[in-house]
Amino acid sequence: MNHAIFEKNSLILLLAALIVVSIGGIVEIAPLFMLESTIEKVQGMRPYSPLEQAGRDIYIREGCYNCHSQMIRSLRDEVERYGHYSLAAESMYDHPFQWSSKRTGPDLARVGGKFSDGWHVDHMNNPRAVVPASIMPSYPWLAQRPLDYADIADRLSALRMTGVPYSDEMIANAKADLEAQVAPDSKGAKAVLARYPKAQVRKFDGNTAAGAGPTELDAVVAYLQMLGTLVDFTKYDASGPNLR
Amino acid sequence: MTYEYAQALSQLVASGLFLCVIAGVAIYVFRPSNKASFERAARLPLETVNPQQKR
Amino acid sequence: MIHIKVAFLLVSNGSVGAKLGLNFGFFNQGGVVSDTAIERSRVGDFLAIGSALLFAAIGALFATAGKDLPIQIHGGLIAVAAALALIYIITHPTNRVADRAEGYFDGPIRLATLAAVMWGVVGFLAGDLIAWQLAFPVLNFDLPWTSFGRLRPLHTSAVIFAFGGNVLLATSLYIVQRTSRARLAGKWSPWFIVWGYQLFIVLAASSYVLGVTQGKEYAEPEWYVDLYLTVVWVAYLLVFLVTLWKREEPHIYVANWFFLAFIVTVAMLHLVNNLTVPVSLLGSQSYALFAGVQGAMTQWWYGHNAVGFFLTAGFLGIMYYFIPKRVERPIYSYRLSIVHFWSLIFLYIWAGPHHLHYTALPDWAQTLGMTFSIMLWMPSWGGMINGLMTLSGAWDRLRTDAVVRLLVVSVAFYGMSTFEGPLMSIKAVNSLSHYTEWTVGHVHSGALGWVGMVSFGAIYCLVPWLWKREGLYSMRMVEWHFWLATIGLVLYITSMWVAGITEGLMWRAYDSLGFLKYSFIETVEAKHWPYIIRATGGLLFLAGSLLMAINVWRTIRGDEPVDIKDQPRSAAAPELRPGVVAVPAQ
Repeated sequence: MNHAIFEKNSLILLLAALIVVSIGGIVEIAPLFMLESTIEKVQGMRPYSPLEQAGRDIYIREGCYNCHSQMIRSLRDEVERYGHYSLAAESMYDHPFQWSSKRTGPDLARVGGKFSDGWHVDHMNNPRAVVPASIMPSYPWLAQRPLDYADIADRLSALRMTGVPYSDEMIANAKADLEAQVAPDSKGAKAVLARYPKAQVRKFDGNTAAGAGPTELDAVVAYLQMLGTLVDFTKYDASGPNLR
Repeated sequence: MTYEYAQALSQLVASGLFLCVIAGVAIYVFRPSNKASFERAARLPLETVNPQQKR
Repeated sequence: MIHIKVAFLLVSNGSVGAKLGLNFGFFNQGGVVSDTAIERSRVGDFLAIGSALLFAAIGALFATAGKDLPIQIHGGLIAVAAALALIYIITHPTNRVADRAEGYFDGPIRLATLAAVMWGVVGFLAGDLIAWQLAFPVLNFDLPWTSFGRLRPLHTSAVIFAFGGNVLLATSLYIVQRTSRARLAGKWSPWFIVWGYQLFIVLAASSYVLGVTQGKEYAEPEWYVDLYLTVVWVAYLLVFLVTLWKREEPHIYVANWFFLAFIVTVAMLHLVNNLTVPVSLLGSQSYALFAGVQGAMTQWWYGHNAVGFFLTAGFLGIMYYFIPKRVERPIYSYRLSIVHFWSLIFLYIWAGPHHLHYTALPDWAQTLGMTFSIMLWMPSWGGMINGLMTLSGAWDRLRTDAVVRLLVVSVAFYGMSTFEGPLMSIKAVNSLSHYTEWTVGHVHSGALGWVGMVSFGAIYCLVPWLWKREGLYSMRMVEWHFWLATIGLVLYITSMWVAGITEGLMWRAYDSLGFLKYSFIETVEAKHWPYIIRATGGLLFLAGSLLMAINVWRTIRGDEPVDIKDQPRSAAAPELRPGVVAVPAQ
């Protein structure tokens, strides 16, 4: 090693530092894209329906991840409190992932189906109406704002570019599917279920008046009500690498 | 690539690299010929150059 | 942003500035420069005009053709900022006497110092507001733009990127010139870096309030803001490198090593973690390229090294210059500083997976992350010892000089939080601490104790040096700032330990029948008083920063220092120190 090489040549110093800091990332991140065992084989995972994805976008917009995790760790108390520990496969279509790092509020990875739509509507409008000691902010504007989904097909196309398997048919029908998911008796409702198995079709915000279009609250509740409901754990082989 | 193989490989590579970096730094730092330059460099912040006199 | 820019234009115009009594001395006076240098600078003028036009055009495109309101607002901001820059560049061509490339180039550094003080106060205020929101949710005001979920990214970005980033810009550009004995490279580029960075902050902060976010912690700005920051950051790297190339001193001082590693690593992390697919090139929304487990690993590789390189390596550069400079003694061991540097940058980059213990991330990655996190304890404490021992033989300075005390206590907090960090990265400890307030307390012992205090110390050193004053306006105010910050910090950390460990234990508590003992909401209620104590601590910390703002302002204004006798020789600007014989450049 030529002495003083680092003190005297800023470019060599720069390159050496860059190499040293690259190593860790390459060894830790690159294998995750290559190893098959990173993501378990599970049945039931599918891309989000347009309404669920729109709800997820609002979840991100409002910064819910600042207080709610979506990652049940493989610890006894967490499994008992929230359900089966989260599998890597369950967030394989999450761009970006929303595992979060903080539980100011409870974990939401399997919140779907645990509360009624009405509870969610009241809770979003004023959390203290249903949980008196809650410190969650109120989100009264969600029920009042009509959902903006003019670009929903573009959003699904962008997601397809990241690797989510949306078909041409799903993208072409994105807008219709979104509207049909809040109109249970419509013709499109069946098509939504065919394209997105286990999707829940109903007016989530409780406003069933004629002509009431999808609101932001519809989308958020639709998203919350499907969280953790896709994987069929009766058919899941639990002997994967993450078993503890 | 099996899971166990990847695990073993990543740990082997990581410890090998760690040893190399530490050994390289140790050699560099304790080379007697570098001593003078380090002492000189350590005094760098203390030498006040009056900006008006520069150039 | 616009207001600041206008104020800056007024200030930089000597006559108006003088009338307002606001002459910040952004430009040095006197000196002659060769014709070739002027020629070169004229090319620079054209490049600067071209860049400003390009930015104005992009901004105008976003403002008029943008598909949503946030991107239109941002386009307008970019266009106005670029237009103001354009006017300024055109009215200040290089052949005028006002611009000579002589002496050190400190104008952008003064700007970054002022920006750091201002953003610091804003960031601490935002943090304290959201701390009170957790105790009293009514403070969310039921409005979208004041709710916790949008303000928390505003707080983290304001303190990390706005306050911390400006401190790093100011100190790194100051140190690289002094230790290289070279003027900062470029004429417009350093201004672009600092003003351009302020624009980034305004774009990012307004994004969150408007609900535009990527949804990844500490990487919230959307794709176009990320691209814009990349341009600013590359300019920063180039200016820093070219200044090093121009140096008249054969050695590159170790502080610059830390800054260089910080700049280049942050560039790498920023580029990889922010890979996204925009929904539309004229819209603000995008989707992250990576999903699920790969996305999580990349995010925490980024997130932990934002701590490691932005908040640690860069600020260690500050420690390695300002402590020796203030106490007028060389660093305790230069050899140790080199070991510190290489081992720190090598080990830190592996530590990310400790944010993902017991998650769906494969075990081997978790184990690697834990192992390297524990090893990281060694270089961290090596660095702490190096900083503290620099005072050996001058320990009395801790008693007599509150600025030294800020710098040294910051290093002590560095030691404390780099001990706590490896502890929390052990999987068994992490199973208790993760997701709880303990993590928040740990982050703040590093952020308020280490980053905050070393920044305050550096700012108190820099202001008299940059504005050529005999000393600070008031050392007693620094003393008050120190105690307010320290007491606030202790309240913060202890209350979060109590809150975090309490809720962690409550979550896993079982009753005699083997059922979970507490519902989730009971664990929330248990944190009410710790939340209030934490927010009170934050208020004290904020009050201290307001004292700093006043002190800095009065020092710059040129008010007679009230206690100059209590200030050390090294408080004065180098050229004003009694008995200093300037050493000519070699």
